[in-house]
Amino acid sequence: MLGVIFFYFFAALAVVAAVAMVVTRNLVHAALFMAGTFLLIAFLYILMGADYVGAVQILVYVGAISILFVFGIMLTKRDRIEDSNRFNRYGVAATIVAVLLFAGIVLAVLGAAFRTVPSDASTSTIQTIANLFLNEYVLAFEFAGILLLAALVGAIVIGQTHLGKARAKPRAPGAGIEGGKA
Amino acid sequence: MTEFLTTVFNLIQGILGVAPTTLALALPWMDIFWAFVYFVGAVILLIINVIMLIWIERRAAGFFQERVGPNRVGPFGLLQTVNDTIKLLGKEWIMPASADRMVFLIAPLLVVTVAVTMYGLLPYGPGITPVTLNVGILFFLAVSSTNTIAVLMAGWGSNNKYSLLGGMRTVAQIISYEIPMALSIIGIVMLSGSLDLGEIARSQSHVWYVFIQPVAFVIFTISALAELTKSPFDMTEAEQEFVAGYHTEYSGIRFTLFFMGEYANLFSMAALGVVLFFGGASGPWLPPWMWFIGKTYVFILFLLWIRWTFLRIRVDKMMKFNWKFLIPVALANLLVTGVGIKLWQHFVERSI
Repeated sequence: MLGVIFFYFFAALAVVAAVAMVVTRNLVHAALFMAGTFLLIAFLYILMGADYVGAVQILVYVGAISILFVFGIMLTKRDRIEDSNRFNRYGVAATIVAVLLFAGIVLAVLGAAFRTVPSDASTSTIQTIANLFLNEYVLAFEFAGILLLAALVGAIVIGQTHLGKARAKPRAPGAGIEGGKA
Repeated sequence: MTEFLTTVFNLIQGILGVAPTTLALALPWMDIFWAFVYFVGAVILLIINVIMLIWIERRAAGFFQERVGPNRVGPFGLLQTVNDTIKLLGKEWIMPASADRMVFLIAPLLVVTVAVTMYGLLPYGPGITPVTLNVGILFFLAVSSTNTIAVLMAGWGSNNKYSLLGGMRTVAQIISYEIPMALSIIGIVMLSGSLDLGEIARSQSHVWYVFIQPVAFVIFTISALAELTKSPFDMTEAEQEFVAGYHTEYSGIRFTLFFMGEYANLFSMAALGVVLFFGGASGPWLPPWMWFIGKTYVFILFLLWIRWTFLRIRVDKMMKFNWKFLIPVALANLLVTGVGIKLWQHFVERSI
């Protein structure tokens, strides 16, 4: 009973935060609303007994939001941050896409045959997840790890070559007017 | 004294345990009632802790620097913090005219909210863990990482370049040092076979993990100092570089909230260290919760000792130290721990 009340409370707040994220003109506010949405969805996971998923949701997305926040500040080259979110001007197109997506999801949900599983909150979910990861889905798990490692190494290499080029070609005085000579 | 405190605690527990049933409250209301009780308990603990910790820190700083410290107000200067708090509450609230209003106002509240949530997860002793979670340690780290958002909000909302730079630097620091901290904790989790904080504390009944995992303890202590932004990692408050970092523009009760959050986090981080490395609430003679608080305060004194002994290191060296030294060492420690556990299982446990 209490769970149901909390579910609707958090779900309603999550929807409000998500809408606010899209509607707001301020990029920083949008990032904060996004963090709020993720947090509220994590609460929903915990409410459903999936406490591992909830904790990971907070752990991963909140860190990501902080990074997003920093990038939002650093990459915004407009003078007024209040007007920095320029992607919410296409109201009609966005409405059409949103309605189509929502209809698609509704159709999919209505068509799906859900199994009712007895809730078993007392047992630990981590052991089950760990067993699945390291037995049945070990290949996918390892591939994801290698992919992330490759991305990490790639990012470092790209960063380093930029640094190397900058050091290899010191801009001597007058080097910028080569084109002018020709 | 000890018996008196235990009696009082039992009395409170008895009253609280009886009250809801005698009032014939329905089951959901009882949950809400207990949640409220734990919340009030956490807030009271937080406030008492903060007052004590500030006094301890100032006296300890005096001791380490061979001076006296605050000793005038009340016995041993104990009432100094109370006085300071009243002074801070009486100060004017100032908000910069160009501040981002809502972000500026919400940030200090968020800091305290995070601190209270973390207090709710700690196992103070058998039967007095407010929230027992299967994934306690993971949730603890997750909640503590939300602090970065509050710091960024404060830095951004102030609309001041020093605040923003301080906030950005804090985020870089906290996010970086979360990695070695998590890696040092994974070794403990592998040994205890559980993510539940109470279970980790109980599994140390034979030997404390600080003796099995000394490298992890050193890494944990260093990254805890960095997470708390305490010297030698107090980049956020490097006065010579940017005034007071992200809370430059805050005054009055809003500044007090940031201050409270900082000391509350000091306690919960030290308590986490006690749970992971010093056997949690176990100990002879005294009731468990007193052991827990006592050990935590000893660990806090240890952290303060480091804090007031070492100088602040440069920001780029701090990052280099983390990425090029601390994380590789933590990974190597993890490898050794894993191999060690397997060898132990193979040779020792099978022969017994």
